[in-house]
Amino acid sequence: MAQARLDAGSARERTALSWTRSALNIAATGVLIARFGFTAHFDAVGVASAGAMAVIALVTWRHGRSLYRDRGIAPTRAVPQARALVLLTATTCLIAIAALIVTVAL
Amino acid sequence: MAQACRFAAGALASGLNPAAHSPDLWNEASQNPLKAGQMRWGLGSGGDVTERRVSDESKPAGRDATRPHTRSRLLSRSLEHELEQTGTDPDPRFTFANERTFLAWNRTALALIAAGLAAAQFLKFNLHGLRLVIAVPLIVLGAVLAFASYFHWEDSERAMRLQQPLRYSWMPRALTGGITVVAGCGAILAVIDRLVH
Repeated sequence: MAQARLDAGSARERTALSWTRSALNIAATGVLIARFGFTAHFDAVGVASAGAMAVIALVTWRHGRSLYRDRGIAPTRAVPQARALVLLTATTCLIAIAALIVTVAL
Repeated sequence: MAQACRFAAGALASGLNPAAHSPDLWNEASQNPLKAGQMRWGLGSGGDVTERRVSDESKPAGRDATRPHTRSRLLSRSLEHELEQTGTDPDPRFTFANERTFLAWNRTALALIAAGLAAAQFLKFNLHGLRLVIAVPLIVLGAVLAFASYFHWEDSERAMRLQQPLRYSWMPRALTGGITVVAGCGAILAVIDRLVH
């Protein structure tokens, strides 16, 4: 039982770290799009998507932290994060569209 | 296929629960609800398990009947509630693992998009448009994987809550195939570009 509780605690921690990595990834891709947007003289798209992605990265990071806090040290149940994951998916698709615009403009 | 799915589900469960090393775990689970509740709920208290199992009697049994189309309600709160009301809470470790798998796919998708951007920026072909042949498929593959990973997450979450076998995903195959094709095209284009000019 103690082992299972420890497992659940570690799983919760791994999940929180995974959220942090996702946030960092979004921030890094934002920097890349802004940088290449400038190269393509497509400043508006670059600045807009970089700003949006900075905000999204921050929100993702905070969501991961709040999940980590809410789930407790040894969680016995976990609420499926359907809405957050839909938003993350939508964001990634929008990032892909911004990346396509910058790529074609380069 | 069904056998393979059962094995995958058994492997997932046995990795986390020392008492469940049989690949037939999920089979057993569907035949004996109370035992299933105890097995899948390594962390909950006994009373909690029975209490939750009572409401399980009214759940429909068929896979297709219990997996409605949710695409039109993706952004509403009802999706989250609907998922929470489906079946019984699995062991939280399974939910966490499923969430991490989704996040890992999402990062993979972002990495593909970043790789596409970098290819567009740094590849120097004599024929300027050729770099798009490498960059655009990578970005599109990233978008498709990001999109598909959500549905795979939802499907797995529902299957776990209904104590059904997990389904295999086509995404690893798409990723491998996509990267191989793009790399092959890159190599061929590089040679042709050099020969022509």
